Amino acid sequence: MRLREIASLARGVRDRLGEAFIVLARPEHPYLLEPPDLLIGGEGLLTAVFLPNSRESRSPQLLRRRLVAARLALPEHARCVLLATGEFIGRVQSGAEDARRFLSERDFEILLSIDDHRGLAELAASNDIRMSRSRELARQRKLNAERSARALFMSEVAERFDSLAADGPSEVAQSTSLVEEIESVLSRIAARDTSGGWAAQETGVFRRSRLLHPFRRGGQTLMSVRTDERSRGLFLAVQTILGNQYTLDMGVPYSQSSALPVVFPDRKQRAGLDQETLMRAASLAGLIIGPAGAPQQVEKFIALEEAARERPLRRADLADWLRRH
Amino acid sequence: MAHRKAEALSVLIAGSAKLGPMERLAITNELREVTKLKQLAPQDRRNLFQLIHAVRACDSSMASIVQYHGASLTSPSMGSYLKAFRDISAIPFNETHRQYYQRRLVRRRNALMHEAGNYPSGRQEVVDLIDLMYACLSQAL
Repeated sequence: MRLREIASLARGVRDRLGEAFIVLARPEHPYLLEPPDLLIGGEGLLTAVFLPNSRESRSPQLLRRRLVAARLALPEHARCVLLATGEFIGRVQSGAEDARRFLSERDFEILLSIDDHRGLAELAASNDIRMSRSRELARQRKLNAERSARALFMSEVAERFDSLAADGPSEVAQSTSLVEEIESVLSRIAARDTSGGWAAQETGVFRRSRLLHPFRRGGQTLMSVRTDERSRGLFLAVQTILGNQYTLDMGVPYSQSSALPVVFPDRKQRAGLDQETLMRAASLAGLIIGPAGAPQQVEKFIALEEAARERPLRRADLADWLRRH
Repeated sequence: MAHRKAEALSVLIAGSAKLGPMERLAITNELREVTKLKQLAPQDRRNLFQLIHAVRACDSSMASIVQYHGASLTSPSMGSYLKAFRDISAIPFNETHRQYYQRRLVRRRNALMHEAGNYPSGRQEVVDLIDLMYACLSQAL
């Protein structure tokens, strides 16, 4: 039903705008796991439209994380539009909920009623509506690109870590559940490296999933994740980081953590979401995907990531670093 | 699907303030050919033609973006455009990104475009390469 509504909305807007504009429902985006519902481009103007789905209507922080990712991935001149029911718009406008976790009306360029197709077409063609903080957004996108590049680099290293580290699978790893083994290693590292000496497991939204087990190691989040055929675990890891580690201020996302989070999957992805898309989407959130199914490599990989923070590693340095550690 | 990615890239191109009206039209027309060819047979030919149109769209977009930012080029090639993206401070693109696209996209693109008898290995490779072009441009547009 929802898909049909969005397709019908796209047709309506396309008819009103004519051939100068391209209107696409449910557009794919190489850095986004949950793209805007509609993308409208033409005459140098770009508009991203968000229609809260039923889960987002119940938990608006889910829409906030979708908006955070879109703001980071789309050009800064893109206008973001909330198209929603009067009730939802009322909640946004009244600021009835905690704005840090929720949304503010100022996070969007415009708020429209869900049946206002004409209004949407008019604003998509209007040059007067602009992202008011586009300079600041450009600055944050640039800063985020540095985090994203580090995450991408380390995730690529993790893909080849087996051969680089030359450690075979451990006996323990084969005899027990890999995810439990990874959790045990992460718990030990978190306890050792966190002041007070106790393993800090994340709470709240983080803990609600059986697919994802996060730990705090000082200022860094480490996670173990169960992979399944639909890649739900890694999908959830990316979305959780976008939701928990970014705030939005008048439409501009700010990262709240300097240390990059790392997720360790219990096995290599074989199906589900395309691996490249996952790696890129994770990198947009500054999330590193560590070596998969390799509890014996977790500690070494974390040490390598820490070393790479202080001095950017080149590909040629990697083998040398691994020989010395 | 290759045409879904080409269509989505078309929206970004049509909505880009960095390209002029004539450039936007030429590039979106090129990407439209990717969709038009989705029924072409035999498959080898369809794969190659879809890639040729996508590559032309990508090359032209990259050249226009570099020109928009007033950067200089050593040669009009995809590798040079990536270096220019890295050096333009207004683009959220750095050396790691350059290497990522150089390894995954440029090398394969050059082999397919310049070597006789070299065809995409199958549908998935066409989809992957168009996806990489889209990903690269999405950072620079």
